[in-house]
Amino acid sequence: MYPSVETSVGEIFSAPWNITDGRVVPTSEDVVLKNGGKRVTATYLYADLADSSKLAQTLLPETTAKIIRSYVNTAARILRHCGGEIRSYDGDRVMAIFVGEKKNHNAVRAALGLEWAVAEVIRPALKSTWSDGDNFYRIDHAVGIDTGEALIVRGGVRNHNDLISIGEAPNVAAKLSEIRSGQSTFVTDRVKDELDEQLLYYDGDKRIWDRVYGISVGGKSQGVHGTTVQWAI
Amino acid sequence: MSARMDEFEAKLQDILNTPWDAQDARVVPKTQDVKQKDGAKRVEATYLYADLADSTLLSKKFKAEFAARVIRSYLRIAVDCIRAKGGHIRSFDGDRVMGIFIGDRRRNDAVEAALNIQWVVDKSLNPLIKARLEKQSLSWHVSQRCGIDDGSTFIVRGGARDNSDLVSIGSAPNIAAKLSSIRGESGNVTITSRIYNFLFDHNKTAKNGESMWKKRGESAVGPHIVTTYSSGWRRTP
Repeated sequence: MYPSVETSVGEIFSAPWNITDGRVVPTSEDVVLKNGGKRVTATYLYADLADSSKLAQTLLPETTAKIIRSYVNTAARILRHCGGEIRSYDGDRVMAIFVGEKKNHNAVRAALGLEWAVAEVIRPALKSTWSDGDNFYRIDHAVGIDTGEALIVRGGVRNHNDLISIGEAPNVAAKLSEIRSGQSTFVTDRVKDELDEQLLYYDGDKRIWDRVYGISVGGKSQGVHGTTVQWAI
Repeated sequence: MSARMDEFEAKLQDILNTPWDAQDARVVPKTQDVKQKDGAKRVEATYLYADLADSTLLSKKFKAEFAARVIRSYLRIAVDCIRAKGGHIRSFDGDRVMGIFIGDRRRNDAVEAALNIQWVVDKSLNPLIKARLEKQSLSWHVSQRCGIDDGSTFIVRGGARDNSDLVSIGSAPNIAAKLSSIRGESGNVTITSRIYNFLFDHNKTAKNGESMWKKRGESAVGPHIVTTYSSGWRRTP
């Protein structure tokens, strides 16, 4: 097992850079540099599967693995479909970075799409795969989104490179994805202020977002809005 | 000072002092991932999570360039200490790192790695940061915690096509992660009884006969009720 884990991780970390969508992507030298860094104005999105430790305890690992994978896989596909770049997996959590003019719109659109996939695709699939699927596990998740400046650097460990995002936005987005209040998407004021009508109202005049009170990250109170709204992809 | 400590000192000096080549970018750097395979392995392993505390505050209080140095220094220490004890690094997640240990000595190896991490943080990283910040009348103290648990896990590839990562499924990685995020409590390493019960004497008791571990109250870690022990001891690598 272990050589193969190391090999695959080595592949992940040492893989070459790719060019996407005609954007100007930095060459690998830019980032391979031990002290290279990229300053970005970006929107960070974390998608976090709820109760996965409960899953691991109550179900067969094979079943747990399928559920986690279905979530992570779906999240990654939707985030990329909406223009996000996946930069980190951590078991049951996915992080995507959005850049460009529509970064907030795209991130929120992806979040509403992921909620749709969870509610309308994954939950029914769970139910039909295991006859008591509803009883043993109701898949739940939350997505946290914040925007701002960040510095992206290498983790700095030779041959095992990984990127670290330093800044308030990645921290806040990660914390928001851990909220378990029944809503599935959480955004900060900074994100909501950039959204157009399409992502502020549904069915004409119904507000998508409700203010969520009492959220503080790193000792600083955050203006946060949450929603249960889903939107098919 | 041991040779290993000299090595750490040099590496940390480098990380803390070499200037960043920071550029403004409008696109996100991209990492290509492992090809998707439908592999899965079951493994008996010890999981160690090393988690840097207060990183949110760190990046708020200081410039990103300095915060990046601190975070990277810490990750470097954790990775090197884990590898030196035979652990395998599975992934970084921002300010924390996870090590997987296997074999008969895996529980002791993981605990020794954790004691080493705390030593290097106290004896090398914090003094270097202090010296660097003193000139500007600023201060920052790096605190961190390791969480360790052992058990049977199932390792699969997690992601979408072209975006894979390995996922460890089982209670041990979950519990280790939760224990590493304990804050506001004494100690720098917290382990479960599944680790403690297998420790060698020299990892349980200090030379002066004092116990290195303090039993914590039975606590719920997520859905699990576990018996845990914390230690504030450290050991030179």
